[in-house]
Amino acid sequence: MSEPFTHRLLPYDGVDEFLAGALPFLRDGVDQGDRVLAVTGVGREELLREELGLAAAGVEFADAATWYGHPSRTLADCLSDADNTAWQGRRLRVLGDPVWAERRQPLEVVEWQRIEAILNVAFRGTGATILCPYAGSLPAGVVAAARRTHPETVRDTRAVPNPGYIDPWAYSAECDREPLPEPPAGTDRLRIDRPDLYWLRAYVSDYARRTPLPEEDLQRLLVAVTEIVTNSLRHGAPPIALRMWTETSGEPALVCEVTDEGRWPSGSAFGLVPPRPGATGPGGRFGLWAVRLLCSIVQIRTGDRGTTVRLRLGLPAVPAARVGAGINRA
Amino acid sequence: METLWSVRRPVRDLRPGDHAWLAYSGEDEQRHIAGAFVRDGLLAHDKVVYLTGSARDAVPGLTPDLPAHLLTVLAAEPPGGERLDPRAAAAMLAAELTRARRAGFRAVRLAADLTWALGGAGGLDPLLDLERRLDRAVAPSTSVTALCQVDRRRGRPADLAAMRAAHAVHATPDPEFEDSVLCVVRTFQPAGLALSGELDASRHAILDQALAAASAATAGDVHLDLAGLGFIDLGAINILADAAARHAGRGRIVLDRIPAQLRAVLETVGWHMLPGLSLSGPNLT
Repeated sequence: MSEPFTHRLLPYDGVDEFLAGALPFLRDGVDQGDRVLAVTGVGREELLREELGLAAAGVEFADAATWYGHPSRTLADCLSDADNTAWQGRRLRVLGDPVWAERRQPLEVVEWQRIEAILNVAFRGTGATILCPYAGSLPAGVVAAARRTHPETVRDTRAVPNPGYIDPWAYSAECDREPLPEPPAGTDRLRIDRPDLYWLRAYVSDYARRTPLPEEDLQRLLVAVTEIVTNSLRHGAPPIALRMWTETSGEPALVCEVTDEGRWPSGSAFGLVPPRPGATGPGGRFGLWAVRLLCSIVQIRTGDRGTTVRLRLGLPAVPAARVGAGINRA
Repeated sequence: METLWSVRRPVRDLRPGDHAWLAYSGEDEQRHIAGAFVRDGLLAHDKVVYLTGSARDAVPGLTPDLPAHLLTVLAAEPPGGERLDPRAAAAMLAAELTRARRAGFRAVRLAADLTWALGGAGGLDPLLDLERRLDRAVAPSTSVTALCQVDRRRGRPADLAAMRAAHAVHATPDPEFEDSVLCVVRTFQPAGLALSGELDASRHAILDQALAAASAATAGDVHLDLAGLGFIDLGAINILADAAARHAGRGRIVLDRIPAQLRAVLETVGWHMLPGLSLSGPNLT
């Protein structure tokens, strides 16, 4: 691919400014024979189709609510699309409307913003071009963050370097600057001092079965916990401990926390960049990356005071009374 | 005789009084199971009596520097294609058992390959007659263990079923590995491994070793029967993918009877990350 990868911010106020930036981007793609994907809401799709006219036939539309399903999964799927398109000698062109910025819980918004930064690393060399329209009506912090995760800004159809842009890994580290809130008081702490994790899984299962966590998600949690604890046993420092609790404020979630006294080496990718099939050697290829896919949200803090990994799995909404009854550990 | 009460038992767990059955699908399986039965007996210095069609037939499981008195091979096929004489064959075995007892053997292993008699004159009846006589001699015994085998490729399904029904115990391979958490057993039809229990980092080396052995022994696809597997960690999934890559020139690694919750995990990781691994059977939807 001769085209360089681009990731541009389109700040706009009102529909006219949105169309002024989005339409040339999409039309250029159709003209150049790109694979053109517009990820947006239903209302915007109608508007774009109308304005594009015949050119709309050359654009795939995807419903943003589904497309932005899970930060790591969306990144991996889109990257794999970019690879496949490049392999066919074409360029992937994505208009990505960040609908997640309006509705999601703060924890999840942070992860989507992190993805905006990490994709600058992950998509290098794919030749893809991504344009992200951010409405001025979004919370001020969201637009400010976008200025730090997009290398370029579109102004009057021209791309100009974004002075606020920072290194993706530095941005990602900033996302993790805040310490994690303490686990709820009275949470049991299970010491892990033997390599056989059979009993650990029995413990996690017993706890999870008292919550509304679906059986398939329990298996995902067991795989994720086993991976994190295996990493701690191999690379971390004792004592290794596990805590579990449920959160009912905000998005209901089962949280499983693994702590040890070790510190991850600097330069760790924290499983954020999807591995490419066949590109890596044997052994531990997709460990932490897969853990991110298996959980709703993974939070990692590592430093002089040891390492904490929190695995969060969303719980289905059930009447509050049932959640309370299920998790009461008194 | 009914099979309702028949049990499956790894060959190493067969004990005096067992009159066991093995329908093997090839030399490899016969060596693995009947061979283990013969070898374990010889190594324990028990008497091994091997009944076969002709004295030229190979005996599986022979040990090096075998003391001659430990093994007796009996050829039971009547010359000239006459029908099997169950009374004569049983008498020959009884005489051998008596000799062994007089020679002071604590235990006797009786292994019979009856493949030659499957298509013999007189049909199945003389064979079933022999089985009844064997059963009467072995079942009450505190010193004799018997293993009857046939090559299942050479028998009609109805005959094999009737023979099978004449045995209370069905011999299975000794596990390649077994502890309280994981069991790995070779399978022969299809060729591969049956994994049951839970697989995590504490047993990765065992999985790796068993896969390498199964791959080396298998010319085509290697099948993994996962019906009994309750957990598999990401490292073990990586090991499966690596094994598939190494086996790629000769066939795929096929995952049979994968439990739904394990399948959900593999799908989360994504099949594109696991080239060379495929699902089979009713799970493929």
